[in-house]
Parts: sequence; structure tokens; C-alpha cells
Amino acid sequence: MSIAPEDIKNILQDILDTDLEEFTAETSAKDVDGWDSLNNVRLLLQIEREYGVDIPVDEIENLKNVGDLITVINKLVAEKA
Amino acid sequence: MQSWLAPKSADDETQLANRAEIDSASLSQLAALANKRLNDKDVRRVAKSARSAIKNECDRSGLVPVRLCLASQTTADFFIDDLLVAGLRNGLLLDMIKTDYNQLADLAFGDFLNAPENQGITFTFVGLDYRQLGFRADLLGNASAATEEVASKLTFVRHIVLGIAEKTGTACLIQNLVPQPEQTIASIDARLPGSALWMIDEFNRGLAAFAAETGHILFDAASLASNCGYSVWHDRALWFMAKAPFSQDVVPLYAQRLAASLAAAKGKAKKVLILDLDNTLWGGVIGDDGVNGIRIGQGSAAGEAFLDIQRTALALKARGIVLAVCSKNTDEVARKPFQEHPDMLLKLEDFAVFTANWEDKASNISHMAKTLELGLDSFVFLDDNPAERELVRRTLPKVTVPEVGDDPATYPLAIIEPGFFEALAFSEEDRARAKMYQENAKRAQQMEQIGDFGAYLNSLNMAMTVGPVSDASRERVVQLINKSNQFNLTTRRYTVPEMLQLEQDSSAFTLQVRLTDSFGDNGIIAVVLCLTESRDWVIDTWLMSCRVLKRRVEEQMLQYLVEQAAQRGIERLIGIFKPTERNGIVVDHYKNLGFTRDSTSPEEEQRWVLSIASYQAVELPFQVVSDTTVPSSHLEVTS
Repeated sequence: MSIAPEDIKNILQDILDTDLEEFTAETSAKDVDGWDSLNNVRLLLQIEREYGVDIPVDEIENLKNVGDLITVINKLVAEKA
Repeated sequence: MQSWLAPKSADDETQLANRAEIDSASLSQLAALANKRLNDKDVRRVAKSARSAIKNECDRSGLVPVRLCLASQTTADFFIDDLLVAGLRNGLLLDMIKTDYNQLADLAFGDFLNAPENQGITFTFVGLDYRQLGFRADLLGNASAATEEVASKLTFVRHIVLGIAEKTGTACLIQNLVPQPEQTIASIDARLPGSALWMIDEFNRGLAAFAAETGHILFDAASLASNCGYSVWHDRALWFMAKAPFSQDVVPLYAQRLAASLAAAKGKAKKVLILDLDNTLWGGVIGDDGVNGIRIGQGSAAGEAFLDIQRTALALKARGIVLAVCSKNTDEVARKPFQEHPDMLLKLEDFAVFTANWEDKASNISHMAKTLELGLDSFVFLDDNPAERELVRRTLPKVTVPEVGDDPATYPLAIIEPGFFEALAFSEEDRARAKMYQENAKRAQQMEQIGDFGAYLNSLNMAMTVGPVSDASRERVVQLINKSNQFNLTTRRYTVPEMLQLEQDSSAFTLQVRLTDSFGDNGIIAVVLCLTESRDWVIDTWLMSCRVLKRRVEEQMLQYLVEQAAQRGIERLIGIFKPTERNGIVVDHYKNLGFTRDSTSPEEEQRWVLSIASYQAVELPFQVVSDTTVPSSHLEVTS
């Protein structure tokens, strides 16, 4: 299983309760209305829940865009398997 | 974590999935959804819709508005949506004022609470957290220094709470400290002065004493967390990332308990537990299995589980919760286990109402509400049968119906864990309530025998004890003020500190009334608060416990009020009546007592006038005695 930007988009849409337009691996929090630090934490929590992973705190600081996030989740999911 | 909530129906799912539909839902629709097991997304949607409903001041559909100031040492953002939804579930419409995280001192001593947009606060939530209080970590084994350290933190909190209370003029809800699992390094920690565990324990004890002494409300997060398990409660990454106080998994339960505390403070805690019989209080069906065939008592796992449900009901009864039975059975058959089975803990006399018939349960419960003179929103109904639960939920949405599975072992937690029966104080009256309900039943019987109402009242040998609100009566008076909804002319609520202020105010007249009769002591059953305005007494509050209705108590109280007013040179009594959904029974209260409506006063806040000179005393069936218990310490100021 590999995670696509679309999967992250769906989770974020639920959290922001709004429909998002363009959303790619290059998208970052500053490109999306309402994706503030609080909703970012909500997003990470929901990802942890859905994929059954724990994102280590030191990884979180290095995330710059959706692509980085997907890389980390893919890595964690692969390690778990 | 919220297994006691009913699962969503297909209709609920459709409604929640449609953003436009949920945004335009009414508050009663949202409150119905709040009683379902919602996921995070649902909660956000319901909360968002409720927030705009509050702004638009639409019909409140019986919900009690509460303006809650959230002052937390941690990030409150992660639970406010859940708290709003839990509020709806508990009959509250929460309008929350968020303050900056960890700015307690600013709040207590700065200007935030003076701002015009931050007025009208009902309660302030003070969310304390061990990690933000900065306890010294170098005092291990040093008992005197560790004690001093705890005392200094308590002093800090005391100043904060009193500072906030002074600015808002209302009570604080103070959350105590939750230990973290990594703090228990060794088994000796709990009794090792200076250890984190010891500090927290000492602090929490001191905090509870402070709350009890000042009338502020303690929110016991420590017990809630320990029930969940500290390892489950805490989410360390989330703390470091966002200063969120606990894991997202415990948020729904936390929000429910916090809302239940607020509800209790507003007099909306549950008062009655209605129990089904077959497969709820015992295993099996009494009509089929007979007294010897049902499972109850030691010897089988199921029998012990049912016994434990009975034990839980009795524990609630000891706290003043009224127990009732609602069962589909033949009355005579349903009573048999209570009379004949030796292992039954519950006896017939434990129930205020015993309803066993073949009518539908919703009608029976409605009838019970009338008999007990209590609102449906104060009822919790426990039944193992999903069809009965569904019927009651649909027909009587105000009744709380916890969801339970087939396993009786889970039932006690389903009715206790959500905090339905939250209590902020425990008074003598709570202990005696069940007995009073039985005495009431006996009085009704005597009434049937005697027939003539006047003769009946005389036969009761009623004695009324009157006096100002005092140290001895304050707790019960404040409890009555906060939970009486029916016989309550203005439904104005006061906290303990506010009551103390009134007692000390020389322009205020406070009156609490006890009633005893030949069947026993009813305790404090009525409260009146009058405020002097030149030569008038404005009756700000007049309330009575519904169990002494139709006893002419209000006439005797008026007679006493008139005497007291005349002695102080007062010329008129001005009765205020504010109609609500619940107080229909007092619509003619002042009229019946001979007051005249001031026709210029608005419908929603009527003024009724009685001139002292025109009052004519009548003969009443009471002996009136002055309260001789220790008066409040400031009485000399009052008189």
C-alpha cells in the first residue's frame, strides 16, 4: 500500500470541514486556508489513527510539505509490516 | 470509550453527511445527535452548527445557557468541540470564552475579564496541570520543605481562583492534578515526601479542602484519569507537540464528565434511576422461571453480576437518587422476588414508584414524572431490551437511556461512568430523600382516608421553622436554588459565595423554611430572598420543594414575610414572576396570595404588588418556630 496526496487531502478535508482544490506533494500548510498548527496536530493524530502508526516527535519538525509527510508515513507503515 | 451512547441511525448518518443540512439543524436536532456515538468529524460538524445557532439566538429548545470562561494551563482547543456537544447532551447551551493558554495570572489580575465582551460569565473553568505549576524536584525526602512547596502552590492557585471569582462574581470549576505514569518510580513514592506523586496527592487534598471551604467546584480529573489508567490518559508526544493535556482517545469521556459537572452546578444532574426487572435486576424472566428459577446472588457469575447492579442502585439511593421500577410484568408476579428471594439486595421499600404492567414503557415513565413531580430530563432509564430503549428514546427524548449490551457485568459502569449523577455537595437531605418520598406516599394514603382537606392538614401537625440563611443551612439552600425548576418564581441561581454576600447585605432579607409533620422531617423546603428598594421588598427569589405542595406552606410563608416586613417599616411586597417552560405551576402564585399585577410590567418579568397595610391574616394549620441553630457569623450585621 502506498499513500498518495489524495489520501492526505481527504483527511484534511474532514478536519477543516471544507472542500480543497489543488493538492499535491508540493502543497504545504501555508497554501491551505485553515491549516494552522492546531489543525496540523489534528491531521497528524488522524493519520496515526488511520494508518496505525506513531509519528516520532523529531520527524514532525522536519516536515515541510505533503510529500515529506507521505514519505514518513510510508516508511513507518513499511517498518510495521 | 463512549459505549453508553446509542449508535447512529441511518437517518443520523445521512443528516451528518450533508453539510448544508447539519448547518441548518435546530438545537433540539443537534441535542438528539449529541446523544449518539459520534466520531471526531461528526462532533466538529455538530459543534460548528451549534455555535452558529447560539450566535443567531434561535430557539433554545429548553437548553440552559451557560457562558463558560476556559482558563487552562494547557491547550483547551482539543476538547472544546466535544465539550460543546457534551453540553447539549446534558441540557446546556455552552457559549465558551477561550483565553490564551497558561495565562491564569493575567486572567485573575489583568484586564481581560473587565472587557465588555467578556461579561456575563456563568462559570470559569480553571484547568490546572502539574507540568505547568513548576513544583521543585529537589526536595525528595525533605518532608517540611516539600509540605511548604505544596502550600506555596496552593496559595498561588487560591489567589488565582479568588481573583477570577472577584472579577466575574461567579464560581470557578477547578480541575485538580493528574499524575503521570512515569512519576511512579518506586512503590514508596506515594508516601515519600517530595516525590511528584506525593506532591500531587497533597496538593489535590488541599485543593479539595479549599473548594469545599469557599464554595468553588472541584473537577476531579485525577480520579477520572486513574479510572482510565494514567498510561491511557496521557499522550506524551501530543503534550510536547501541542501542550494538549491528554490523549484524544479520552476526550469524549472527559468532555462528558466536565459537562455533567456544569449541569450539576445548574441543577440539571439526574435525580431518578428507573430500572427494568427481568434480565436487568436479575437473570431470567420471573413470569416464566419463577422465584427459584431466576439468577441472582452468589454462586454463578451472572447471579453475582446482577447482584452488583442492585448494589450500584443502592449506592445511588444512599446519595439521594430516587429509584423506580418500570417493568412489563404482572404486578403481583414482579413483586415476588423482592418479597421471597433471600439473595435480593433491593427491597420493595427502596423504590419510590413501582410500575409493573403491560402498558408501553414510555407512557409509564411519563406517568412517573407526574407522580414524582420531577422533569423527564432528570430520569435515567436502564433496560436490557434494545426495543424498549429505542421506544423510550424516540418517544421521550429528554429521558437519558444509556446504551448497554447483553452482559450485565457492564451495566453498573454504563450508568456511573458518564457522571449522570454528579453531585457537588452532600447534605442531610440527600441522605434522607428516599425516606421522604415514602413518607409522601403515606401522606397521600392518609389523605385518601380522611377525605376532608382541612381536617387532613390539621392531622399532619405541621411545624414550620423559619430563619435567615445561616452557616448550617447555606449548603442546602444553595442546592435548592440551583435545582428547583417548577415551584420557582424567577429561577435565579446563586452560588455559595454569592449567598454569603446576600447574608451579609443589610438591605437583603433571606428566609429558609423547614417543615416537620407527624410523618417526619421534610428538611429545608422553601427559600425566599427579598431585596429592599426604598420602602419595598422585592421578592427576588421564592421557591419551594414540590413535595410540600398543597399544604398551604406558601400562605404561612407570606404571613411571616408580612410580619417581618412590617417590623422593618416596609410598606409593599413586590413579587417577581419570570415564566419559564418549567414553572407553569406557579403562574397564579402571587394572584392566589392576593397580589395585584402591575400592568405596566412585561410578560417575561411580571411584577405583582401587595401592600402590607391591606394584608389580612388567616388561620393556618401550622405552628411557627424560629430557627435556633447557629446563625451565620455575620448575623449581627444583618439585623
